[in-house]
Amino acid sequence: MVDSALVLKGQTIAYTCYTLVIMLVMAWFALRITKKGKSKVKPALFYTFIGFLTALGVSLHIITFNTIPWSEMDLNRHEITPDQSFYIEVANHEFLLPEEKMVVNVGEIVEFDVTSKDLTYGFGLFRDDNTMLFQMQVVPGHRNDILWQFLKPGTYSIRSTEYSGPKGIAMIEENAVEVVEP
Amino acid sequence: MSFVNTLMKGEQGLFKAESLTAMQKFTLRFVVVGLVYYLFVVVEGMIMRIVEVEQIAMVSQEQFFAILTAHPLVGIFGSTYSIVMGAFLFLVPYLMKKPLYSMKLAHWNFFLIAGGTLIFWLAGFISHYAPLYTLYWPLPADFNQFNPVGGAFFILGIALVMVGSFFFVINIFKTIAYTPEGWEKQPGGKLLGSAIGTVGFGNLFRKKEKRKEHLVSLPVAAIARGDLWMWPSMPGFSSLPEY
Repeated sequence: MVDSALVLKGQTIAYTCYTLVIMLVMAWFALRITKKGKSKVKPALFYTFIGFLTALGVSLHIITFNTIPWSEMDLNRHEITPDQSFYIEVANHEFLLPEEKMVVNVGEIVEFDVTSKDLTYGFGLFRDDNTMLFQMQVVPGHRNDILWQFLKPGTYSIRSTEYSGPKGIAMIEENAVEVVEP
Repeated sequence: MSFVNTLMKGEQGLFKAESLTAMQKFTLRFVVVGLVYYLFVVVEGMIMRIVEVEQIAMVSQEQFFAILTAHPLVGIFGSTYSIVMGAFLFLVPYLMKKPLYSMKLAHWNFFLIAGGTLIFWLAGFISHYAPLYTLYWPLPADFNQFNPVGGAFFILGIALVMVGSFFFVINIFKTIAYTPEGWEKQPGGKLLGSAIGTVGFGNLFRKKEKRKEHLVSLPVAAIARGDLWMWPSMPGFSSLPEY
């Protein structure tokens, strides 16, 4: 599984380039059609460009789809048996974590099964530098679970990533998950 | 007093309200109210920025989230919608060279947008109702955190804005399609087709010599097509799939 920070960096570069190309060509197009006299842009050229952008944009989505860390595991989840499962409840703006600390070995596939008793919350795991590893919505009345394979040792905090009212901003569990070398 | 004088009567008294036509008056009313609400959101934005840098005593955490909830809605509906609606209600009849379909509907449109915005803003300000702008269920009905009366008034304000927007859309499309009294019958359906783009779309598949002429100007077509998305993009509708 690719690290989500690397994916984010790669996608930022790809989509920034894509947007810059669109902006530059639009500027060229605007310049050409606002010049005095008859328009100097042939319609065929313009529509070819729009077609190219559409093809490129769709291709970017298809190519980057496979780099999203959880997509493969999500698609094949019926064939995967997790090494560990953690059951977490959320109610009244509080995470009710398992009594024992959640310790995971590097390489293990872990299932987080989170249930909300009242509101819609978020369940996000954050690195020490406050960047997010993953997150999911926790909707009341539904099963909310995610499979994750941890590739590096470290400690992770849990935060609610969904706005659940002013009380929701305090929903942080520091160092809740520890990933260790086996 | 000279500032107030200039504000009310214009530079050197050149602004004469009594000389304005009914259309100019309501357009100006939309713009003035839109700018007043813009002032609201500018001040709110600065307050929120200050609180994010450093917590201040005059703004509690509940007040902060109430501002955060109302701020985009006041900006979108109270300010942007007002100014845009005022401009378009003036522009469409001007470009179509015929009177606005209904001045009465335009006045209701104005009062519903201005009044609805004031109601939901006040509901947030007084009761600290703060489910944020998506009205994401079941948070809007969490009465452990929020006052139900505040919530009811907040929703009422949003509903009034939606009705006002609906009146606007009706007024614009009717203005494009209707035939004013005593005029020669206008092709309503074809005018609407041209405005929402079915004529242009059909032309893509017609031979050059068989292409149909556009009956409305490009700005009118742009306004009509934009209006199609105005109502479904309201907060009540846009959050429906999330329920």
